[in-house]
Amino acid sequence: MLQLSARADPAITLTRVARAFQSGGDEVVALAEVSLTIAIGETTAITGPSGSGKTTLLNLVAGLDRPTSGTVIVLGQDLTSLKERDLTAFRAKSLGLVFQDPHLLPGLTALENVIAARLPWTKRQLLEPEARKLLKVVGLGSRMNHPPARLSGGERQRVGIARALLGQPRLLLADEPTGNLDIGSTEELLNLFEELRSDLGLTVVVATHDPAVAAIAHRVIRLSGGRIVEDRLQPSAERIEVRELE
Amino acid sequence: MALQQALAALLLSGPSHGYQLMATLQAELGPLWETRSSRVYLTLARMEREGLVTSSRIRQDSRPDRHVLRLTQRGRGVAEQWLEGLGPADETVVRLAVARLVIPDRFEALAAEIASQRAASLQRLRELRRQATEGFQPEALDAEIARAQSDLRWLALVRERHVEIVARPTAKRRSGIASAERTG
Repeated sequence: MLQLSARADPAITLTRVARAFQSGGDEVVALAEVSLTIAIGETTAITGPSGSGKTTLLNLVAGLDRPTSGTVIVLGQDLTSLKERDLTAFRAKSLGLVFQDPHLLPGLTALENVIAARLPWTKRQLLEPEARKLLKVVGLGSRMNHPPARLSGGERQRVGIARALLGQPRLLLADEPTGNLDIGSTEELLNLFEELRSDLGLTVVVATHDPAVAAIAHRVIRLSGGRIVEDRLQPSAERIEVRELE
Repeated sequence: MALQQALAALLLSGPSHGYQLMATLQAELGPLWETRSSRVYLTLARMEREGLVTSSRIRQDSRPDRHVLRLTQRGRGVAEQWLEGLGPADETVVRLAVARLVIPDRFEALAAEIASQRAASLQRLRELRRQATEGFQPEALDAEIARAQSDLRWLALVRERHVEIVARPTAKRRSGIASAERTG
């Protein structure tokens, strides 16, 4: 099991973070005073039923949303103090985001889709070698020039992951990344996450309602009604059951 | 499967007799689990020989005498270890069925602990799967991975419903199943 170092700066620190929304004159609390710390290099699963606050929490860490109160520090940067423009730049440089649907642009190839998201910050010529390398890493070396329509659901999600990894972010955030995938593609994708974490030293946070997906994590945080109701390190299996032919 | 441990664990909630223990298991687990009376009585006799239970005879006027069973200290240890320790995946349903009755306040924590262990097994199976390339090994591992995934999803449901599950009264009788269905 991963040893969590108390000395290393954490990748994520949330302090008394709350997020409430207005709905028809009522205040709906999506996240209530959540505090947590996630270490660098750790894979963490945020689990819980629909409406428990998983996506809200991930969006706050991704800087896609701002808390009603509390502070969100990601890779040493206090996101709550950043202006919108700086937040966008921070997100582009430091974070990789993977969603349930990768929303690939249909008129572009897999390679162009990987590159497109970073074009506002970097020239295409500089991005292309890394994009090609990443598509090979995610197993799409022979499909770089295919449009999304000619890729399977699992392959499209892999393009989404390559796109998220462009620019070498240190933190990968994934919201229900296997939600649209079949069983085989889900397993392949989870293996890929594990390889990326160990090969690239990424910190990975996955929000999922599926405990079989959460099992890839070193640590599982369970939310219910916008609160953390469980936070446990995953034990490692010393041995697994072996059957005997009789 | 684990009949001795399940019987011992049921006795954690107090003395009982063979027929009652068998009826409880049958009623709680329903038609998919077979509990033969001959095996129950043989197992209880062995448990007494091994010092896991003691029995005392209670005379009944119109019926055969009843043997009331009590757990010994050793029996209690065996029961608690089986119920709350690490155990084989295929005993999970029986463990949780008994835990619902004898440790309802720890039922959800036990389900969480079993899920945690199952998740660790799934992690290990996935590691092995990444290395497996020969013969039928990948498929044999896929079968275990699918089983572990399914167990985890089921355990998550059990945890979500734990309040309702624990509040449900003890089952009184077993639902029927056609003998042709049972024997195939």
